[in-house]
Amino acid sequence: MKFFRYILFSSLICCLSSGYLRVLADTVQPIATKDRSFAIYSIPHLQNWSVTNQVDKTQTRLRQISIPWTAQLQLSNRTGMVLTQSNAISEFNLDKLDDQGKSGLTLQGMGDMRLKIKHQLFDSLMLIAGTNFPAGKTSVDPEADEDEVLKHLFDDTLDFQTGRLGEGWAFDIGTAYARQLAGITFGIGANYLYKNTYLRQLLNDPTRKVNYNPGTDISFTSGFSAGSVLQFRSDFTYIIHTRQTIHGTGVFDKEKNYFEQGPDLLIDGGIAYKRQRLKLDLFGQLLDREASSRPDASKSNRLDIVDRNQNNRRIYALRITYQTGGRSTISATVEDKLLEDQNQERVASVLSYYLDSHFQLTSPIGLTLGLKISNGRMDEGQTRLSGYGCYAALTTGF
Amino acid sequence: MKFEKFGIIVYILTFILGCGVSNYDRGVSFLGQEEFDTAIPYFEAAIDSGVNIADAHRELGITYYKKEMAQQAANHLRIATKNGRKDSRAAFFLAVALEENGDFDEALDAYRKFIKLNSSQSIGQDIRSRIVLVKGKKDNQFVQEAVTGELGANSGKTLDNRIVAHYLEITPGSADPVALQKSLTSLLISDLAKVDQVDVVRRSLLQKLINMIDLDQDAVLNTKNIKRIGHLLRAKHVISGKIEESSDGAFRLNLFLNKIDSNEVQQISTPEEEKNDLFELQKTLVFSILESLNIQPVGALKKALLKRETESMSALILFGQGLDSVDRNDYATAVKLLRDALSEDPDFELAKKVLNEAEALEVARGQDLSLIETNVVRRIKSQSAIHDRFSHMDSALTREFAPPTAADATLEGDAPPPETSITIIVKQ
Repeated sequence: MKFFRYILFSSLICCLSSGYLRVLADTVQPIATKDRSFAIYSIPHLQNWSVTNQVDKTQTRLRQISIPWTAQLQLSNRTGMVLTQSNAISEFNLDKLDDQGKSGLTLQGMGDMRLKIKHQLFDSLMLIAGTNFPAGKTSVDPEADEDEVLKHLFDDTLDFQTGRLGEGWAFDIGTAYARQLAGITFGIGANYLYKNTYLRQLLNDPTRKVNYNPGTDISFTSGFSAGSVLQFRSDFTYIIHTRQTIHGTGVFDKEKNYFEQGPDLLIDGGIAYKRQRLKLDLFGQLLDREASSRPDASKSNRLDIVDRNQNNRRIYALRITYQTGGRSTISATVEDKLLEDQNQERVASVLSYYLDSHFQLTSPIGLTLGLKISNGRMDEGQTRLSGYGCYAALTTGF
Repeated sequence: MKFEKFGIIVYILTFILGCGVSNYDRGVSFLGQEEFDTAIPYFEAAIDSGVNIADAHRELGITYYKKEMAQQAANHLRIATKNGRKDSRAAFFLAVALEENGDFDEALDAYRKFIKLNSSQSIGQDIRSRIVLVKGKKDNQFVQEAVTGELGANSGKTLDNRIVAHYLEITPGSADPVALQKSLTSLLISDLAKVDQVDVVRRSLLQKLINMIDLDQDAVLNTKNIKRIGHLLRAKHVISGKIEESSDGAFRLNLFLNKIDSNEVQQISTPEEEKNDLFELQKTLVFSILESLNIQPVGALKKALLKRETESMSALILFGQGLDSVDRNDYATAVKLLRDALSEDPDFELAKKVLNEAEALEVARGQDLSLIETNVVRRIKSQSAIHDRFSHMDSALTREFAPPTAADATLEGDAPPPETSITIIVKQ
């Protein structure tokens, strides 16, 4: 396997440096939209995963086609706004379910619409404001087992492009300050995200709907960047989540503290070697999630829980971006991702290879294409993962 | 074995990094070392390669500018900024190269474009001052060319709509007749500039021409010189005349329309009655001139023309003294006088405008272009770094509001309610 990885990576590098490979990536900025006051684009993604349990010899297949669209409007050289919205079709197949006569489970729907505005108040001060319009799907059909599909969409291992489709109205407001001293750019920032209560189903009893308050998030970040040809950067982000509550009828007659997610610490950093045509990035990211709790799970005990979705994560990646010609850019990335539970036990490891590219077809129109291949293991090697993803889009700006 | 692997990796990396250094990169390196002649062929090769041509043109343009070859610099920098490309570095160097080359109109456009791209207030102020200075240089160039080409073949051609509102003679004169003369003329020009059908020559341009042909204030009002000024400014008509102040403080107008092409002098009919109010007289002047040109202002234009800039005599005199100081390049005094005028009448918009120009000229006089250049280059670099930092911080702070990506998977998860199968560990 290791030998295969070396061969693949070396071949990739050779192809890139020879300029023969005409493929595409997620990481390549839609160049067609650069310098445009208004840009609109949609980059549809197809993601496919096969999860094979080697013990009970079952295979789960998951597929998602997501169609996000983005509109960007640059109001001035200080103010810009972005409107995004995602639509997705997710499919889940388990051979056991096939035996029961269900060929597959599907969850599809429209996501919320999100508006974000950035304004640079002064040279070194930025204000951020955003809102989430609850236009998306917030309920699942228990008859169609949509909840079964939903559970997998938040799996850190699988990295689906679109997770939750709809939630309640929300807004966020934040600020960031950056300053350059002795060639090093320092920055600090904070953000407050308010998420309003909305009506949603209980996953364990989808026939019942309760008022779900997802709580608020408060984020703090600080970081620095330095260098021009050889660039270093590092960022620390700390996120505090307030309690999530549910309120409804029956046992939920009185508001209950449903879940309290522990704070998250995200540390990432990287080194980049940047030339006119070539950019080489080596970066890593560590996400440390402190223990979450479910305060009202027991009357007498406050329980610390480990949710299988709340894993710590480490990512290491190497990316090469090369401008092959006046109108084309290609990028290749190798990414190694490790997920560990709260006891530092390895939950999953996934190695992914990305190929992305962008072609400028005419002045305002660009073609962006990408391919991702992943392989990995879960559950102490008992489960093998293999997946692929691809996307293609035309981008334009005015 | 490990050593071999390490060697292979080092070899591959060296190969990639070696391939990654393009002609453009080499050119930038030589430009940084001020080896301009060595940098030029690399940038030319970078242009030939077809990769990021606009960037290569920009750097080549900057190299030529540093070599004091402004014409070549402007040619390349024009390419670097064409098609609405938002490149503040290219826009700035294009502006300074054009200024250096004497292409002032285009330089003014380039400076304005740079201001739109620039987010630094201090640099914005510097560039706004520069724009006022370049406008002055443009006027100087115009009058110089006009005087130099006075005897040329095209010197006699006048422009149909162009009109010069020349200084009016004021007799016997107030305490400061020159100040009153300049301020009244300025008000008159400001009003005529509101009329689309006429292209009135700015007072500053008229004054520059008077300075260039070296006329003293009395000679300025001489009929022969009035016609010469009309010719030099290629104006079809020149307004001249006299305001007489009688012993009882009433004013009487005596106005003339000098037709430059036909050499005719036509008296402009004005109301017979004498005016005691100088500001009303100024408005009468405007309407009489327009009537002599067969222009009948109506509606919004008429309303705009009737609006008085000021009704304070002391503000008007201080304004005129400020204008006179500007004409003598004594901007510090001009700023003080114009501020005094504004303290007499804070709504005196024309005084505010001239004050802004005088302040800008005062700043521009002390400006060192190479210092601005250094500041701009440093600022662009710093802004770019700050912009990148903001992007990192923005994505770190507002991940929930961005479409999820591989490195940005949901943090919150969709934690199932207590009944679902989750692992619960009771801490001991």
